[in-house]
Amino acid sequence: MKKNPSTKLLLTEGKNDQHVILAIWNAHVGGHLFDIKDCGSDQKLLNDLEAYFLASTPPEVIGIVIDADDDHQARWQSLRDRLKNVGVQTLSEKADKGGTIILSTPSTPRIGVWIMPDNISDGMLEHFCSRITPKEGIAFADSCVREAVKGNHASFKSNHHQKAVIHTYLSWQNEPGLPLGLSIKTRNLKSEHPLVQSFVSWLEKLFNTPNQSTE
Amino acid sequence: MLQLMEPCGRIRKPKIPDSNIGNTLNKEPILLPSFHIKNFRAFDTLTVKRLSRVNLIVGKNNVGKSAFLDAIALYNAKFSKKEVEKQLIRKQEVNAFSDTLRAWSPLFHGYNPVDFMGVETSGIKLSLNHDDQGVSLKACVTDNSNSKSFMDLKKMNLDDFNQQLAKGKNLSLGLVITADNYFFNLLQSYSISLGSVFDSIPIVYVSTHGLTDDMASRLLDRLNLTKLPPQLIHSLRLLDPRIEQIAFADVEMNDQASQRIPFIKLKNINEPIPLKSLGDGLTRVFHIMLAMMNAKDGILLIDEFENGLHWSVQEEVWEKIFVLAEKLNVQVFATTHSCDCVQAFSEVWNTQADQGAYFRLFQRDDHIQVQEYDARLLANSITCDAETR
Repeated sequence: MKKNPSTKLLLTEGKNDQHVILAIWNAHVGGHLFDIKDCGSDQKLLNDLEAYFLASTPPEVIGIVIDADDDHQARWQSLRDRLKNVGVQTLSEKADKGGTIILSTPSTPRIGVWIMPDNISDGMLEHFCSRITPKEGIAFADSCVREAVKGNHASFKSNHHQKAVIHTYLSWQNEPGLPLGLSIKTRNLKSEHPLVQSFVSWLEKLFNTPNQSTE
Repeated sequence: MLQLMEPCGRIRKPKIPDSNIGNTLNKEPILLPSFHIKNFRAFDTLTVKRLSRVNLIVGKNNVGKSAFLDAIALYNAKFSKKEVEKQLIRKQEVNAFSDTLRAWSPLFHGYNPVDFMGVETSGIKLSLNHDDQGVSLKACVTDNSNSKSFMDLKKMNLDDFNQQLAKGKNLSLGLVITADNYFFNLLQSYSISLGSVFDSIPIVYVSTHGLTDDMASRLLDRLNLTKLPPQLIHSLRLLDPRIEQIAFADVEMNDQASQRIPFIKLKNINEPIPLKSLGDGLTRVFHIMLAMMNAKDGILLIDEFENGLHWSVQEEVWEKIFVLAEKLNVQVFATTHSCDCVQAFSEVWNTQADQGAYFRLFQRDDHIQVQEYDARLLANSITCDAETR
């Protein structure tokens, strides 16, 4: 039995992204304005973007939150290429600092893109979360992680360094072991930070404003 | 509360390999690797860039799915009178006009029954792609005093035509078919069909309503001579494992008339049973398989594939179609409305790399356009519940 398709949809890479965004939204705005989907991975997210975009009844708005990983410009370019494949030529050469929005046309949905952490740096969700924790706390957690590596207690891959740092910091907060999404809820991560404000603004602008055609 | 969506997956039921089908890998190229339509019925201009061995077409009601199948049949038949009349009768577009141009005018894009002269005079073209000469049908003006000359209706507009007539010139309107560098003016040689000039490729059409008993009986008779029926029985067994044999027999309907209808022999039951009594699904599979086997080295057209078929058997039937299409070198074109059918097709296509194609016809800005899908996009769209039809 098919359920009603989403008209406003935000695609994310994984459960952590899904829950962090949900928590931030509820902390600042609240209410059911859009659906958030965990696509499972970055490749699956891009495949899903294509599938929803080309559907015979596409959503009004499709937003995506995707990690920059090691090279934010390469990530942006691969997104541009994917969108060109489905006929969207209008993605500019660089991401907007406050999140990108491509206006809808009579035949295509509005599209929003946020590259974690902040649209201009390399990194991932965990960098975003680290930025919204107290500086000293995160710096201390960072030094602990480095010590652990030195002492051969660590086995994480080097590009997951920030994940190790943020989870180290959170393991000292109440309660230890809470997933990222819940840490926002319990105020261990400060959602009043300007980066979060910027993110929330982008979400509101993307999903709230009425449909307009391209200028 | 915002709604969270899980990534969804489908649990595939385990496949039981079909040991009755041989392992032949067909390297023959397909007949139509792409297709281009110009000015035919509701189609202004349309190109499907990639066709494959088994093609599924979707789209809203009346968008032109059946017309697409008709275009393929006309391309294959090179606008033969027989094929055109078959299509016109099917659409109940028969009228009392005695001249061929008027009778055939519903085929043209922009046809207006009241003012039939408004037909698109640059003609219908069906081809593999935009640049290919293909097969075309154009309205023309013939000078009856010089039977060898005719010109495009476009070059002489209708006002000129009427003026020339008024001046006493002996002109008439006609139709010209062009194919493979042959011109064929229907007015002059109406008794000859181009089909007799070219080798025709077998093409079998299974309508929404299936085959008539008469047609089915003829197709089965043809098969019995070439020893293919074990495949047929095997396909029917997908729906009812008790089936042992199928044959046509005369049945007296009343005192005057008798009719040839299909009978099934079931295991452990001595008396043959009419096929129809076992349900419409079985008849549908029977017709599709009969048609497939008669379309060897040719084309099979199936309108509304899913008719009468329960969702649970569709995947197995599609599997049979993919395998047999390759084995018998048939190119299949089917239409559907059903999401079960699309899903079943997608499951099978994703295990038969490069053997399938899927596209949606839709209306936008007064034109019919096409959205083609690859196997991955289709599978993913279905998983996401993104509407593909």
